Amino acid sequence: MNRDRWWKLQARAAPYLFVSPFLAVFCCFMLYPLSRSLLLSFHKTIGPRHSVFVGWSNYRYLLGHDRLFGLALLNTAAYTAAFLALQIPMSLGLALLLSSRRVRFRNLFRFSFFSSYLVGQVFVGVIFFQLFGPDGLINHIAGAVAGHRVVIPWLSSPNLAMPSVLIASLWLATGYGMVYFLAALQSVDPELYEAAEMDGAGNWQRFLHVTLPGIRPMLAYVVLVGAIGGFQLFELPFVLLQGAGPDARGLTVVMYLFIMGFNTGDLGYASAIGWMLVAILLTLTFIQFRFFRFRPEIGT
Amino acid sequence: MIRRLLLHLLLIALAAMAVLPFVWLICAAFKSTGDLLSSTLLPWGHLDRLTLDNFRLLGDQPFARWLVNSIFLSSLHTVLVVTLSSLGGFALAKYEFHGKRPIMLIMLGTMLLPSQVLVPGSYELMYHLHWIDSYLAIIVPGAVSAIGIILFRQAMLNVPDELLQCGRLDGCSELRLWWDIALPVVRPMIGAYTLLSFLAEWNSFLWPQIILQNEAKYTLPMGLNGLTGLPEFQHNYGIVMAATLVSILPVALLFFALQRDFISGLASGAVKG
Amino acid sequence: MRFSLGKPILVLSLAAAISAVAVWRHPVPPRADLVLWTFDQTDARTYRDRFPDAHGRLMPSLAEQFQQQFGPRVRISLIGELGENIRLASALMSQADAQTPDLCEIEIHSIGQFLRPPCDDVGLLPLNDFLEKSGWGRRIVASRFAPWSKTDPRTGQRIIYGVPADVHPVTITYRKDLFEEAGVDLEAAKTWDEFQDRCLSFQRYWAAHGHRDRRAIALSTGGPDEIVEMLLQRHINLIDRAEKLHFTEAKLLETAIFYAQLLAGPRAIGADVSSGVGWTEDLARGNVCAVCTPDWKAGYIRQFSPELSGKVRMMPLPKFEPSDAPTSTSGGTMIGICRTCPHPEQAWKLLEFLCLSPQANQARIAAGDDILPAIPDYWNAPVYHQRDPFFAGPSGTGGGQDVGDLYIRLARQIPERFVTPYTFQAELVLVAVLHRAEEYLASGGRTDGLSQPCAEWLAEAQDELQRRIDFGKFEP
Repeated sequence: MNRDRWWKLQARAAPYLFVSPFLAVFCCFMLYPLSRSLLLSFHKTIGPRHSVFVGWSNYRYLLGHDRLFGLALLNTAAYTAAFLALQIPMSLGLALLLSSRRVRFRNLFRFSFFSSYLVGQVFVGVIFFQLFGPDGLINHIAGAVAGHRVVIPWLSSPNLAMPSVLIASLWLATGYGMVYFLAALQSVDPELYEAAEMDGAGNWQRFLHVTLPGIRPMLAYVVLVGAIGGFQLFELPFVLLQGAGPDARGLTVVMYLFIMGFNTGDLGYASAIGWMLVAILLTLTFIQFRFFRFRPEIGT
Repeated sequence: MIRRLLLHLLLIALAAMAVLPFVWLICAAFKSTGDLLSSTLLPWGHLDRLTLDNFRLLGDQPFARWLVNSIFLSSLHTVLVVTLSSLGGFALAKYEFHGKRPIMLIMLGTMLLPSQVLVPGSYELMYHLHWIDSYLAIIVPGAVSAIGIILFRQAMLNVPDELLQCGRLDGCSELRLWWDIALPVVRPMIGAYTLLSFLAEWNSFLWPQIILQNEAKYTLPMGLNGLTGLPEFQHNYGIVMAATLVSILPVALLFFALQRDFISGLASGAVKG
Repeated sequence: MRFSLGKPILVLSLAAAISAVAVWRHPVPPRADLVLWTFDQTDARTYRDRFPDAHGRLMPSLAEQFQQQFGPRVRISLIGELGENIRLASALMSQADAQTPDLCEIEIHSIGQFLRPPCDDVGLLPLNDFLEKSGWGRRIVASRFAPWSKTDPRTGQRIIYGVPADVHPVTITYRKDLFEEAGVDLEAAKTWDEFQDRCLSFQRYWAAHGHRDRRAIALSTGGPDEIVEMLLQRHINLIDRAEKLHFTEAKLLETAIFYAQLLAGPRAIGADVSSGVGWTEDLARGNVCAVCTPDWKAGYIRQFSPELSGKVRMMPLPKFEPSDAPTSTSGGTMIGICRTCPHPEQAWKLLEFLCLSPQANQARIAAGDDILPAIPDYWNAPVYHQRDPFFAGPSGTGGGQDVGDLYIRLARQIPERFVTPYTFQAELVLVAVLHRAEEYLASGGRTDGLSQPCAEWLAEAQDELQRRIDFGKFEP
């Protein structure tokens, strides 16, 4: 085989080779658990040795009779929407601020905004649990501002429970988004900015017409990851609210899944919840592609 | 001039908010149990009451062991996942091939399913492979990440096709193209993802807890968590704060030392012309 | 040749290589014949650490002593609670027999899922025979077997799957100094109604003296702990041993309404406090002045608010009616043997030694654990009969109280608590009903107008829950 054919061969085989690790791991390690859980979702389990095939029964109950699931879905959807609406502008804003050439001590600022992410999901819950308490730091600050003792029931009022979770997770995730956006801003061609400036474009216009399109793939990515993360929220509210929260307003879909699977012990039903979540998210993605034409360039 | 000042003031205010919980954490780790709750940040009048007791109590534990374990797992994981993801992302961004669409759909799908659903099945699989209590069960499945591949795909969309064509005309193999041309363009993203994926693995909790049985193999967050009996963290509150601080420290140091490489990585100049 | 993956990756590769060397030489733990999983650090310490005996000589640890006396090597594995439950559940589910421990400790909130399968399929070994033959069955407080047992529907026999490690009687700890200052003798209240009346006087006094927000007792609006404690006093379990629901019981309606009006409306005496241990701070500041304290909670006051020394006192729970228990119970742990254990006789011996034997009791006391064990024979240990100076005497402040004696007196009358796979959801749903009731009162509704709507809500809750339970059932 001469050099030329070898080169042609490897040029054609290359993409397959490059994705083969993912496929290999997927087939070996994900396929079995995936199919097992899918199968489980059509069964009712009452112990390791006892399960009975029930067809769509789990799904029917989930959609038709399960009030807690509906509640969890509502909480989770509301949370995710609010999260995205806040996190994206905040991280992007921070990234823009920090990329500005006028900033001194950039390293320090960058570190402080990122430091929150270092803590990790579970410990964030632990910290904010104390901060949001009736006599916690947040109420102290509010009290200092108001001039008298303020006791905002962050964690025990049904209307404030999810917002508290939101605040904690924004604190955690803004640094995360900022890092990605900083990296993305780096790769926007500076010549485009110069060209725009020469055309007389102001700051806002440069942002709209140079920056945004330039980071569009990353923007789509952060939105996607944020949406998925939002819908899969579990540990943070579980630790922060010590369970489902007041009036079950902190109940998220994955928390409900966990309760059904590892507290009640019906793994079949829990699997059904998981797959139902996948179905819902896929539907949402589909709707978004079709009607809003906002493709995160995944499908091209 | 004013704008500059305002900009900095804004940044300082925001940074203060961002850092406040962290500062609180640091203070809490040094407070004695009596002061833990009665003082908000520090017992200002009685700074001599600050103590290292919480850390001392932690000291009875096999820290060094857990630390080394965490370093090993997180480092290996990060190297593998960054390398393999950038390869996969490169393929998805710059090539057309059969099966590309289905593969991307599969990736998206795997991201959507909550991992808790997969735990029983994965455990069973590991049991049959005799990988329970082995690091292999953590490293091998974790070596690829759909999120990582998609990230690099997005980033590599920016790699100019002309450059790749030039490379091919020069006789470069595809692998060479990836190494010499594509990677340098996405250098900032490599840094960012390295950091984030290191952190994710460092803080990763659920799966190691289920798989690892031998206490000598525990990772740092796992060992510390077992100590404090989360979610029963209530009664070891100061120790939890000290434990959290200790588990953050190595990563924070890593970040601080390599900050420039993590976030600002300069494009190597391949972008021009 | 540039390293295109960047300096961080280079650094990390190096780090991985270096740490790999250390990791390779992992100490392999000596092969153990018996393995115990626990999530409780104090228990792990009790089993693993060496303690000085009465003469100050360092004794070998319980695990070592067992090995010396009986032979099998023991390994105690400490793991976070969530992890232990998932691990155990996964191992049982995968029928990964080799991976299950021999002994395991399970907490009362998690036991539901393990008791869900039919009696022969529960992953834990029935302990009735062992308890009978060894005589421990008679020596342990009978009502404490309730959460850890299941009735076989075919034979009607109660099968016990775990040995209780504790009793956890509940009392009320209150700020004697503040109540005295207000001229209120709280301990004279023998019923909850009287208790409420006295607390109202207490609040009126302090409202007039600059503390308008001071509340008498800590009660949660978002959690089930206190309402469940009250219901248990009245011998009501939301879901009883026969998996029957009791939401529509008249006593429950009465108690629920009473609880709601303790928190909302003109006669409210309760308020939420910080969870975790923050409530000790609330107690110290006088935001609330009484807390329901199971024995495991009482110690936190000492630990986190030492300035309350001599200012607090303990009293038994008031009752609703004479047939109620004078106390309740909250929390609990059991030790059980996995059904897959290859040497159940040995495992039982270990269980006996680590948890029931006199040596175990000594070790536990030496480890600083002042929880009452479930074995009345051990209640005469001096540590439970010391006058505790932290608590105030009957007259004035200071003087000390025989707290241990109080708990012991109450411990014999612990009500039975049952935990089922659906108990968590039942509590969730009950709290939601209570919340509606509280809102009703807070918006001006009257207590007597609450009966009918509350009964409806409870009936709805019961229906929903019953549907769930029926849905989850099937005959294998």
